[in-house]
Amino acid sequence: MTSHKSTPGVADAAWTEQESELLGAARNERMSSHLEARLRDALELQLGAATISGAHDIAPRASSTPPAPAIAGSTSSVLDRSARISQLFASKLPLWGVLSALAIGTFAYLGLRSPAPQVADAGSQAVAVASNAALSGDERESVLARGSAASGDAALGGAAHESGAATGGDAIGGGDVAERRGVRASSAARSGGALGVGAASEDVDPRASGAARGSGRGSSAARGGDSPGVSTANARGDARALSGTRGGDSSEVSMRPMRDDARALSAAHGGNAHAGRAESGDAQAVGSARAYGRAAGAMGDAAAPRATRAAASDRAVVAASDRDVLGAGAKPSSQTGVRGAERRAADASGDAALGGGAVAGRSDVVPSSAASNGEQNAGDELRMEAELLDGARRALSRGALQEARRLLGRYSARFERGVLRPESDVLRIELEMRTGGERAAESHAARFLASYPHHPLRERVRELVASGAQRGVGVAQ
Amino acid sequence: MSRRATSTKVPSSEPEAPRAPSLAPGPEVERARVRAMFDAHHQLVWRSLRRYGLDVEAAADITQQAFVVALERVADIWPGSERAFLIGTALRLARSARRMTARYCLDTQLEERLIQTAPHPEKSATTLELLDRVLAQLDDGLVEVFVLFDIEGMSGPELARALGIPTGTVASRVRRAREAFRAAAQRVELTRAREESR
Repeated sequence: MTSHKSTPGVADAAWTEQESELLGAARNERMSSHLEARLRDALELQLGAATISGAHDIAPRASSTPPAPAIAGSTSSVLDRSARISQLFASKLPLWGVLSALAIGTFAYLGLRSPAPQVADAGSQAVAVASNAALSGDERESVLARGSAASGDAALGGAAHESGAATGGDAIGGGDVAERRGVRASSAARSGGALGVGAASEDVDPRASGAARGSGRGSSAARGGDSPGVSTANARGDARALSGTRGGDSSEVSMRPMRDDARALSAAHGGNAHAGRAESGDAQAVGSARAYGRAAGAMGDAAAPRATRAAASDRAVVAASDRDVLGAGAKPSSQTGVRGAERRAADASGDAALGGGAVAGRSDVVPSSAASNGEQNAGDELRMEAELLDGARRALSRGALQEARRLLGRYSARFERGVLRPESDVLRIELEMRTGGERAAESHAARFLASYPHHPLRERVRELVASGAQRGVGVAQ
Repeated sequence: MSRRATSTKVPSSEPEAPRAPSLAPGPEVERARVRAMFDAHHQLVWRSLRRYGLDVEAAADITQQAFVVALERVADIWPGSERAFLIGTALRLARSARRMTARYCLDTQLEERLIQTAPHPEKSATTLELLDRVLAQLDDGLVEVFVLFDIEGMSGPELARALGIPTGTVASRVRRAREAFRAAAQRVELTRAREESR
């Protein structure tokens, strides 16, 4: 019988023979070696992805977006510092997580009103200030810095940074950072999420992977679409799916090798975002997000490319429901987002989609009376597409290949011209790769690359094929 | 099945939970640590989830998710608290997964799980199945404590950390869980004896 020597006052039980037999059987149960190998593989995949996101030392690729102003010091070190400091603060003062989330929300809102470069710069200043624990304001007249000083939370450095990033609108990157770092996470992140879920790296998005490096988890994947450099940032960022959320302009997201992680984290942190794709300025994003207590599916139509930041009329059909947060230590969310509502986000330039509450929480989002059944139906269809693909993705990630094949078959049969067709193609390629159909995968990949010359998932497709090549299969272009 | 008395004393005070280091170590160290955590505890986590009522695959899924969370938050896990963290995380995930399974209409894993959990008539009840039958009669809160304390041998303070409850509560739950377990075991044993005598 197990001894509880380390538990003074709790005596060992004296079990009967039959009881001991029952307990002994339980102690001896082991998962099968096959299952164990699967879990180990998944973990290695996760660890490998962490490596990727943590060490994105590739140079950002050319982007159509104009470069952001230089920020003193390396982006990654600034973000990393702010995250660490926020962690330090939160570990000492639990309430600050909440405070920071509130402040972050304010900043997010304010950030929307500021020209991006200035805000980004101010944000970086705020980071610096926070890093030095000066917390006494910013030399610029930035409300961000003042707010930072007011709340006194170093994490706000990051937040300010993010709100700067909030060029596109949301600035809860701080929350994201905090959440990722476990800084009283759920509260900060959740509150933040409610206010607008932003990618930590948003403002440095043009420099893309730098942001991903900085955040260490590649939340910038969120922005995937208009920042090619970012598309390599996957990992947890994806899972958190702020990206899909950010919808309007992007895709990327959960089609990364981190399927497993994405799934796990999506469960844990809530984001299964299947962002759509941006093509010639029109962006559609679909999401099945379980973001911070919400399940949201959305479709966004951004009439203008984000790079131009032209005002856009975004429609987000958000189906949100109050789902419990799964994250460790997280408390169930009672936020309900905007259930089944259609909202118009003026000047959102692509912030349309997911994040339900994010959209709902923003002050520049006003209800639209222009909802039409057609759009609602389209939203339902998209959501269904996303769910099927999500199921396939999860099946793939846990090695249920037949299940994945079945779901992809269902998707193909039902959505011949689905919005998420490219995403399904990528899953198909991955499935073929894993089931020994490398030639078929290669053929699919070649078709994909030819069909979608600008799709952010091209990189992923190349990776898949390259991984096949390493095992002795030819490489498709 | 005979029943014997067990005394369970309630510890007088709960030791202060250790605090996580304030700054994270390097990524390599973190990854190595998560690997070590996996090597040391994945079976226990999975096994505990099985006793919590999850089938083989579902328990594996949640186990995996628990390690994903651990990787995410490894900097917050104080050395020596890894097991408690993993167990606590896994149980929370399991609870949520149960709720979600109940809520989602389109749960693509559900049908698969239903197939997996279908009874196998050709297979006689094993000792493990008997145990699960017994545990199924206990409240979830008692099952958690019983499995972790009396089967897996976790200490009261560790269990308190994992479940986020005071050590004293752990002790009282242990006492109640043992009583409930014995009563349920007797019922199950009687039922089985009756079935076999037919």
